Amino acid sequence: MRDVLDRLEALGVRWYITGSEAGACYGVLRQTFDTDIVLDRTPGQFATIARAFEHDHAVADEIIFGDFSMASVINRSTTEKADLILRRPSAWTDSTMNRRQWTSHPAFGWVWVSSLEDLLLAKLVWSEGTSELQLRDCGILLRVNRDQMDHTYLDRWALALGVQRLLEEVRGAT
Amino acid sequence: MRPDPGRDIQEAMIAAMTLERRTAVMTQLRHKGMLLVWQQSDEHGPMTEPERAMFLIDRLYPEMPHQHRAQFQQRFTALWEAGTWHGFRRPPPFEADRDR
Repeated sequence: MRDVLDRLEALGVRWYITGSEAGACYGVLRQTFDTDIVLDRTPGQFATIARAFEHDHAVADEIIFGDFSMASVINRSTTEKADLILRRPSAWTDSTMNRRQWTSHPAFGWVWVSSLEDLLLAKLVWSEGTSELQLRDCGILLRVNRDQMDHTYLDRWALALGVQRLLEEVRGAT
Repeated sequence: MRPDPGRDIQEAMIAAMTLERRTAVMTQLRHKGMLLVWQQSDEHGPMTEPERAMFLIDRLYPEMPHQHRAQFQQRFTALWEAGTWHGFRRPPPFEADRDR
């Protein structure tokens, strides 16, 4: 995975890890084999990034999902997969990139990881109110990190992202 | 959500780990899972490398979107037929198993 991250750096792309790998940094352990990486590029801009991976990865093109897109690369030797997420510009996506955390990872070395609050917000959005697993992860993130959580930031963006009710439900269950 | 005291205890134990320990456990789980999937491919019997690639991918990444799966299948088949890819490399044995 390190080579994927280094290649993004070389391209001048800002990035951070989200999803299960980020969850592990904040107390949630889920076995997944892929790594989710958010890029500071917008949907439709993956083609130039893809070229940097084509000689030693298999590359799957972007799929657009509403306000974000996702492409994937699989290392041709190791089977490691990274999902590369490109989000439509917004005040929140800017904020997530600015608040990313520089963190030491035993396998990847020093990496950028989603902030705790933005990971929780992303999980609330991804859950669409129906994914028990995502909502359970949100509960753990809240319980385990209650004292470190910036609740003012969380409330502000939960309202803006339309997940305030879900946040309150998760809070009520913890 | 279903009440599950066992899961609550497990989650509390995980949360009590240091960041280094937690991410190390995740890395170990990933490695062990990879070995398990490779073992399943051995048990499945002979396959071409593109077939093995998709066998592994289907088990490692079951939530992959159909469009991506189709593209990867096409890519690995094309690379194989062009002679520019010869299959995935098997992960090394897990350290703890190697010491036994």
